[in-house]
This record gives sequence, structure tokens and C-alpha cells, in this order.
Amino acid sequence: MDSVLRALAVFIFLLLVFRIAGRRTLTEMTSFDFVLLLIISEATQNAMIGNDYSVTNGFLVILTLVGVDILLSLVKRRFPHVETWLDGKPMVLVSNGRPLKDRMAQARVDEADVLQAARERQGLARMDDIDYAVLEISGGISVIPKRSAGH
Amino acid sequence: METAAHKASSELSGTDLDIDEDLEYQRRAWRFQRIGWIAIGLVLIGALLGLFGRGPLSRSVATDPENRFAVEYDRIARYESPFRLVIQLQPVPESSRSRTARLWIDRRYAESLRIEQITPEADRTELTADGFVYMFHMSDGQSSTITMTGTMEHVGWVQGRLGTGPRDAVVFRQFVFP
Repeated sequence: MDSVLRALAVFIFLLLVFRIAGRRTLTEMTSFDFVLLLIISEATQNAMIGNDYSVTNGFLVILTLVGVDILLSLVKRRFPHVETWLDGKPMVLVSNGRPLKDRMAQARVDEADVLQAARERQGLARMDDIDYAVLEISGGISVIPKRSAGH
Repeated sequence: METAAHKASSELSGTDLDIDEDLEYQRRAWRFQRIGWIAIGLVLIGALLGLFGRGPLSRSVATDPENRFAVEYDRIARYESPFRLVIQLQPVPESSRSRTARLWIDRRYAESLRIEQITPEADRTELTADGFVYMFHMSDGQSSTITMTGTMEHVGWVQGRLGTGPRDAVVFRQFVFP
């Protein structure tokens, strides 16, 4: 019984914490973020497994995590509101080459991040060449170049 | 206001972006995030102070009504985490013949712990209907300290009851986090 409850508690806790931390926390990963992720998984593991190292316990924990994930995806399909709250919505950051500063500040994205995405994904050099930049629900920034930008 | 600005600019840029934006939701989500940050901060400060066990707010001392002995314990503990009880026994009175100090632990309290070590080791252990009794040999006129370590095996409120004689019980409550 407690294997399932432990895994469930950890699942809900992590869902909440990463929702609080915001979208861009672990998506644009620096090497330090990667290390942080590993440490978090290490800390999580102890809480989930406890001192029961049996294979059965491991299986139960895995089944709980996957099961809750499936359940959550079903709930999200059924109730779009839940999906919005859990996954967020995409948001325009740059429109017609003009950065929307309020939104960027709130989302903790700066112009350098947008320009980096523009260079990496579209080979754009300047903010002016960007038609739209969108903060996606995955936490990445997608960039749509202006038609005149040579594409 | 932002939405209006966005519409105006999207009319300027030739492309029509088919995007499911929801700024009202976005604002609420940001507010939720800010509240969440504050909550994380408060939890961390609380944890440093011992709100979740092992800290200055958590450690406490209980004495019996006649002040014959004291128990230092954690008001807040954690499941399967180490605990430490420090029991301070007052000297055996001169008049008393007995050189043996007794320490009993309530059965229900003992069931919610796993006692791993008692320092010094008891000379004798007795099993009674109400719990365990540990006997220690004491030298004259010395107060002595007994340390008990182990892990908590029960989640939720636990009532600690320890005593030396039949009537002088120290009663304290502990909360054990899962």
C-alpha cells in the first residue's frame, strides 16, 4: 500500500513544484541544470523507495507513476481547463520585431534568449527579422521569421 | 491592454498567427507562481527553524511534576528518521538504600519507536504489562544522563510517556512527519 502512496505523493509534489518553478526552469538546460536534475532524481528516489529494496516495490512504484500519468492525460483530454493549468498555454513574446517587455519579464525570458533561439533555429541576426517569437508550453522559444528576412 | 497592443502589431506584421493564447490565464498562472515562490521560501525558513524536525523550534525538554527527572526530545520528528531522547536523572536521595535507577517506557510509546541503543546499557530489562523497565546501577549523589537513540516507526501524533517510579511520569507529545 505505501509504495503506491509514496509514489503518488512524490508525483503530485513534483508536479506542483515544477509548476511553481515555471516553464523555463529545466528546458533550456545548462550543464548545471542537468546536474540539478540528477540530484533531484536522487533525492526523489529515496523518498519513493524508502528502505524497501524489493523488486515488487520497484515495480509498484513504476506502475503507480505510469498509471497516474496515463490517468492525468485522460483527465486533460476530458477537461481542457485542467490541461491549461497543468501544461500552460503558449504566449507571444515578440510581435513584428517588437519585444513585449511585460510578458518577457513575467516569464523570465530576456531578449538575449529570444535572439539565441532566433539564431539557432532560424539563422536570424536581428530582432527586426523576427515576425513572432512564442514561448511554447514545452518551455522552448519558437521563432517565425519575417517574410522579408530572406526565407 | 496588452491584447489590444498585440492585435495591432499582428495586423502590421503580415502573418496571421494561429495561436491559442490566454492572457487572463497567464496572469493567474503568474500570480500562482509568485505565491508558490513565497510558499517555498516560507517552507525553507520553517525547515531551517525545525518546523519539520531537527531544529531549534523542535527540540524541547519535559520534566515530571516533582522535578525528579527531565527528558529532552524532539517535538517534531520524521518517519524512519533517527531520534534522540536524553533523559536526565536526579541523584538518588541519600536516604534511599537502592543504588538502582529505574526507567520505564510506556508500552504504546515503545511500540511507535524502534529503540536501537541506550547509553549506558541497562543492567537489566524487565517486561511489564505497561511496557519496559530498564534498570541502571547508579553511584552516589550523581545525576546521570541516559541517551536513547533509534528511529520513529509511527506517523502522526505520538504520546511519549516515561517515568522512574510508579507515579512520576513525564508525558510529552511528538508529531511524526511521514
